[in-house]
Amino acid sequence: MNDLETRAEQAFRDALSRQADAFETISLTPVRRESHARRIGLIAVAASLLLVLGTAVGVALWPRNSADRGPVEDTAGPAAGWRYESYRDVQIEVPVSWGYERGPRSDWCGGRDDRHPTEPYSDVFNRFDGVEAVGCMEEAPDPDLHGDGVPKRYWAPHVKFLDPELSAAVPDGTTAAGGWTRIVKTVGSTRVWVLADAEHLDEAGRIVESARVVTVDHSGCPVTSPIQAKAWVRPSEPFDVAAVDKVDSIAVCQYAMAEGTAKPGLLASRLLEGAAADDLLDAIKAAPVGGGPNAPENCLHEPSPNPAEVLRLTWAGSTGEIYVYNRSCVNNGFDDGTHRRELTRDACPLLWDGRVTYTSASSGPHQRCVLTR
Amino acid sequence: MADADEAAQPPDFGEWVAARGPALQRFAYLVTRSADDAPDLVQDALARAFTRWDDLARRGTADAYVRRSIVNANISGWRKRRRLVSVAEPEEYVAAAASTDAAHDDADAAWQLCAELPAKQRAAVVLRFYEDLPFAQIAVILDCPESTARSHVHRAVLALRARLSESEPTS
Repeated sequence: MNDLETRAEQAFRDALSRQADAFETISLTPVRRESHARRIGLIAVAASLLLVLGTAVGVALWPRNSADRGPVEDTAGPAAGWRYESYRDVQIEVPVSWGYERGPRSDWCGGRDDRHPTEPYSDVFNRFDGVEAVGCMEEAPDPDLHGDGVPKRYWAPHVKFLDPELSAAVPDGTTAAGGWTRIVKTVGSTRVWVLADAEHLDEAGRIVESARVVTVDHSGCPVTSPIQAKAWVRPSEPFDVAAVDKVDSIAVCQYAMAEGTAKPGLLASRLLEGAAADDLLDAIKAAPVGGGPNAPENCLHEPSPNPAEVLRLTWAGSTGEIYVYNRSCVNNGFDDGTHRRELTRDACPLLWDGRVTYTSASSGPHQRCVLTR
Repeated sequence: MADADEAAQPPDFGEWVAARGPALQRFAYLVTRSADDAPDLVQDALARAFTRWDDLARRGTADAYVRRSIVNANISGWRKRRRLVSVAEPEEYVAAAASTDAAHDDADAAWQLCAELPAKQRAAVVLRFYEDLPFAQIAVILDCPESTARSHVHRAVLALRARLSESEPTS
């Protein structure tokens, strides 16, 4: 190495050291998973959690039997200007004008103020997403219709699904205060939660009223799948995706892994047709056979609670399922039961939209599945 | 026996964050060059690490995992916002450097060059010259062959060498 190269290396060292010394760090706090009560040595959370409502603000019980219809398969389609959404064994209708956002939670004070949605939305947060255990030092609104102590200035009309065991503190019913109304209703295996201002109150009521139990949702996704097993599984009816020339549709069905198959595990779904379905099919077929990327030295090999996807392909009267594991360090890939194909940057990012989202993962699949172009 | 048991316990996640947080933020800042983005990237990376903490802590790979997450997240955003000049061909880069202010000292030139490196190459430079890591470890963090990690750093050094040479006064 000559003198100039030595000088260049030293210049890098000096520059980076200088810049790092000048950078002001902030106090970081650990993350807790909202869906589990794990002991992880948290810094105490100062934000209020969900409150048990007992104040004189006019609590009305929603009649529980008004929509306790038997499980149905949808044949009519949603009303004009509305779309379907599903979770576990429940399907609802939501206005098309309501977007998809991650709503504020107990970590509402982390990050920029403008990151919270201001327009009506369907919440994409699911029970496997992490929540920063930050100490948001502001008194919670009273009553806390939104939940998690989120200040009213960050409220926007929204709908979300909650598992009953995670929301037991809030009873079913309608609660109104300060121009906002919250409607909570238990349907099937889940709870539908809608918060609305006066302008969107009619839509909120209609969302809740539309909730019904299904066995197969609007995308063609069964509410329960073998991929929910507490083990790595392969499709029970193998086929070869390379032999499929063109599909009618591809349903992306997202399930909760490692929960077992005793109860519905559907988390979200979307239906691809036309060019979108063609693109995904082509990308999967082009992916190298062999599965991956895997890095077995990076994690435990048992399946852990995370989402996993089942792609239901329909073509010429036939149906085939591809299992997609993409969050661990092992068994990653598109599996049609005959071959495992590699997660590629061309294929994996095509799965995500709406409430079908992708968050934490091992670095290998994360690099392939997060859109990078 | 009690001491041995304590020594065998993987570190507590909260304690690890408190201890490593400042260094990870500085790393994220050097990789992103954004004081605003750095804490967000670190928080996101910690959220991902949390879901597999027991395993990471037991294997001692938490630091590498989080830094890799930071690098990857920056790459994802970086490619959407910018089109960068690669320094794979340092001779090409010299022509662009000719217009820089001759008054910059070497460190200024190095920092300016870092701004123009592709995200992964900049990360390699930070890991080598700020974190002082061996190439084998850099390769693990960047999820690339060791030869690639060496190449990233070497080409950056050559590019800066060329720029420093251009700024030398001629006698």
